[in-house]
Amino acid sequence: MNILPIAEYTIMENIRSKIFYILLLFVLIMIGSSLVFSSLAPSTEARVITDIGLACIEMFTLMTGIFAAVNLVLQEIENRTIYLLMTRPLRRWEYIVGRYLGVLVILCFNIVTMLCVLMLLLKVSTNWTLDPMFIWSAITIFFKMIIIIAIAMTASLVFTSSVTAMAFSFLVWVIGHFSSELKLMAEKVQSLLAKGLLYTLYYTVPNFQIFNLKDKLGIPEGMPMDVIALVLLYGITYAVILLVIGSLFFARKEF
Amino acid sequence: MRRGIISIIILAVILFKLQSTIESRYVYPFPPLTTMKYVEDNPYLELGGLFFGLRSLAADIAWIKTLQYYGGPNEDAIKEEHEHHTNEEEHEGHHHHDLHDNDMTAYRKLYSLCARAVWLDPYFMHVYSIGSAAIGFVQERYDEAALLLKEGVVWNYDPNNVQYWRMNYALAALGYNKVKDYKNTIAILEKMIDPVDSPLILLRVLANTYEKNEDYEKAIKMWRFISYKFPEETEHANKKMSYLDKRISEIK
Repeated sequence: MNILPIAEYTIMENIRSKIFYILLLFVLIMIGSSLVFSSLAPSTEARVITDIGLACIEMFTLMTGIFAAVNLVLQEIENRTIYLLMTRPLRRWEYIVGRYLGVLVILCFNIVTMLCVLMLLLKVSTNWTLDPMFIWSAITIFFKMIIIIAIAMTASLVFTSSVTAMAFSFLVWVIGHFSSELKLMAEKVQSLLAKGLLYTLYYTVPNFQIFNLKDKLGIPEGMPMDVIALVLLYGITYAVILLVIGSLFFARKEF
Repeated sequence: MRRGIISIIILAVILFKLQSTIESRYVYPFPPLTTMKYVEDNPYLELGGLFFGLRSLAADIAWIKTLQYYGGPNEDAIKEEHEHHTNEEEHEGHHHHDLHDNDMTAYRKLYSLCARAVWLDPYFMHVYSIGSAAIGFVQERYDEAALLLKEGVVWNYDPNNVQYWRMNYALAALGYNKVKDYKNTIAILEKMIDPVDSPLILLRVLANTYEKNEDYEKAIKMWRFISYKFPEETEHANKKMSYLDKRISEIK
């Protein structure tokens, strides 16, 4: 199995590219926002810091994740270092999966670090108490990344242009969050064509809204555990499909 | 290649099944786009909240904007005063009248700003409690305050949650206050307000209602508590306490 060495190589490559500087930026934004919001909204300080923190975690992870996933394979093709790898007894799908897992490990480390900083800040600056949904919301952020990284990587193999792949991934991210609204619109719209288009979008684009537990932190009943489990399974299945598609495209490339 | 396509088809079927199961169990927890009523010229918060899955953060920003509006100068009343002033100068000559906190024209946008915040996040309890107190008890626009609270009651129905009951109490207190039944208003406010974790505005409402009910000693006690809990309010609390002391001595 060559997946693990490839993943390890990806992690080292990301560390060398100083991707962790984003964590420093996160710490600065969090400290700054906690100072500002403690004076602007004194009675909702913990809520505001939590929301900003989780939003920053998601956005920073999204940006670093898409950027890393899109450029990993494309840069290797451009620099022709991939030829060297392909001469080794390595299956192409193993290369794709190894690269993918490497990026995920880096993102997971980033999320955990940022989450620890956020929790520390909340503990120090407010009378915050840990809610299990808070941890689940961070876990579902990671599962959103599992999908979007697979999309970005597959898009880079299909489009072979990093800008197009990044724009495509970002578009899917936006539509995915609008998914529940798309369904409501599809139910109301009269035109059959529009209805068909909206339903197609709804069923093909991943529904990121169901992963959005950070927006459900204030809801008393939260989300049942069995539904969370199904959502996580949905994320994994979606990512696997995309990786299979990506591997098929990669297998057809000639080096 | 063939194996890959077959596995994609099998996984797609599993995915579809999973999605249908989740769909039957998952309730979209927010008001849909079609119910959006109060949109500013630039609906960046609504769009950001919807397209990036950041509704809760967008609601926080909307709420901060509301607090800034309410904490700032009463532009609506000033504008109205200016128009009134200009008209009177034109027709009858110079005339002045004071602006009061509970002027019906004051902070006219307050309800729509609160409604915007709770459209983004209908589970944002602070907006209901602080917003309805400001609109209803301070500005005396009872119908708007009741509308905001009713929205909160519908979205946050949970008999086991103390916040749900507080919203219902607030609705009842507003009703009594509207007909100037201060005795019953106080009875309900006392049930509703927990001095330890209540926002300042509710404590002020309670202190002022004691005063309206001529229960000056309780009012002084509440202002003393306010000045202890919120040191920035000490100056205002001291003024109120000396005024209330005078009232007590007048009566004696």
